[in-house]
Amino acid sequence: MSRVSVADVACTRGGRVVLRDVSFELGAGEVLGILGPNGGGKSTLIRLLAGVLSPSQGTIRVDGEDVASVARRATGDLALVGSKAGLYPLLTGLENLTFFGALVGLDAAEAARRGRAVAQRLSLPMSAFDRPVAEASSGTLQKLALVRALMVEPRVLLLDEPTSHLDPMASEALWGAVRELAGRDLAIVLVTHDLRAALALSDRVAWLDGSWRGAAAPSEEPSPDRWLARWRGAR
Amino acid sequence: MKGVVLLVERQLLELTRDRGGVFAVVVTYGLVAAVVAAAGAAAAWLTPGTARGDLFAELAGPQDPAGMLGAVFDVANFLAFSQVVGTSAVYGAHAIQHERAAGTWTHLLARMSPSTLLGGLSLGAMWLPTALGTLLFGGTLAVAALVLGSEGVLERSPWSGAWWVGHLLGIPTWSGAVAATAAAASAFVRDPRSAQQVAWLVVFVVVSVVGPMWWSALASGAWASFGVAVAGAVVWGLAVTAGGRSGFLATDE
Repeated sequence: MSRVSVADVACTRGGRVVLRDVSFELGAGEVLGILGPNGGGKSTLIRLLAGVLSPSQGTIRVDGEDVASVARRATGDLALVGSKAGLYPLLTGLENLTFFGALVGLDAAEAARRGRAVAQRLSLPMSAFDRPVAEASSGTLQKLALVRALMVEPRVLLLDEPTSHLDPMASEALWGAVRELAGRDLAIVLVTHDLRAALALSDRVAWLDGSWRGAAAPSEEPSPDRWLARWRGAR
Repeated sequence: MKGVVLLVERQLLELTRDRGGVFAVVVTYGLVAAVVAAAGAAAAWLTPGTARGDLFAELAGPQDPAGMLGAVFDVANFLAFSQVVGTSAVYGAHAIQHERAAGTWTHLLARMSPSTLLGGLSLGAMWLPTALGTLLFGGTLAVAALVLGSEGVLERSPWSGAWWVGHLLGIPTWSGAVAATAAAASAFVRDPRSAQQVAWLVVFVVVSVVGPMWWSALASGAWASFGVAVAGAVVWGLAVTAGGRSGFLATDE
């Protein structure tokens, strides 16, 4: 059974169809890269997959269960890292992790233990835990956000343009961390404008411009330019 | 319920880190308390039978000293209500704006219902103003009533049960109601300036309509104060329910 199963999903916001005809399957250990123009519905799809929004048509299932009920249980099965780190600036890194951990039922000690273990894996300095988040660099913030996402041991990791505010070095460090996750018991959906990163990290890449234009393995086209040409032709 | 408690704890932690904000609230409440103390002292100082008291009576007409002191305490209680409710509205209106600015709104929405969020944020918004207000205004009125003590004064101060019902139930419930309404409205208007303006409108309406009811209830006894507090709890519940179902909160855009 697929970890994530999306069937014929459409989403209408304010009377406007922002997403339609989205169908795909994603297994545990797979990375699906999603690219597309601004306003193409990528972030809406991520919110649908996170259970924050409900589709106006179609179904989204995680291991066979409706995504809304998975989200409602709030056990951390779905984890999200967005373009903004989504952390409280006046709290320290550890206080942020403790708060978000508690929302999914982790006590403070367990959140700290798991957070430190994940941070070590991602090469995040422990000093980031003790300082107010407001004092951290953008790269450190995004790594902290990734620590928050991974410490709850999710089944699905949703990455929504996680490097859009990062410099090239910090982006590369974050992509390195994502690369390290590939192949684990985790389905990853990666939304990005970074075509090269998507091709390097994903098992399949897809184009979304309001409608789903299909997904294919990066090996099908060796050059990023060919992908762009292919997607231009699909419009 | 657990989500509400976690939200309140987190907001309090953030508020205590924001020392400038807490300082501003303490100074505001302190100034109001000082003005009240000065007015009480002035009213007591103008005792009839003394030269200054007679002069004042000649200028302003015959005065009832107990009535004057009672009026000062009424105004003091009204100011306490308006200040605490006003601060709660500002914190409430800012709460959702703060979550959106920090990018945490989606993460919270993914874990709890909009009603839980609104309940937790409004409870977190009213807690600190209520605690500081009760401490500062209550302390000032308790000391002033003891020093100036008379029947009409004691029943409007922490020496009466009605005062505690009013301050520990009435102010918190109305502060929560105002914070929830301001928070829900701020989710609708989005722009921070508009959100603050909406908060001001909510404060104006509640202070103008409920403030006099609340202040006269204090002098009418504990049950009257309890009635005003229950009305606040009902409005709070309605604001949380309506805000949670409106759909304005259920999106992070």
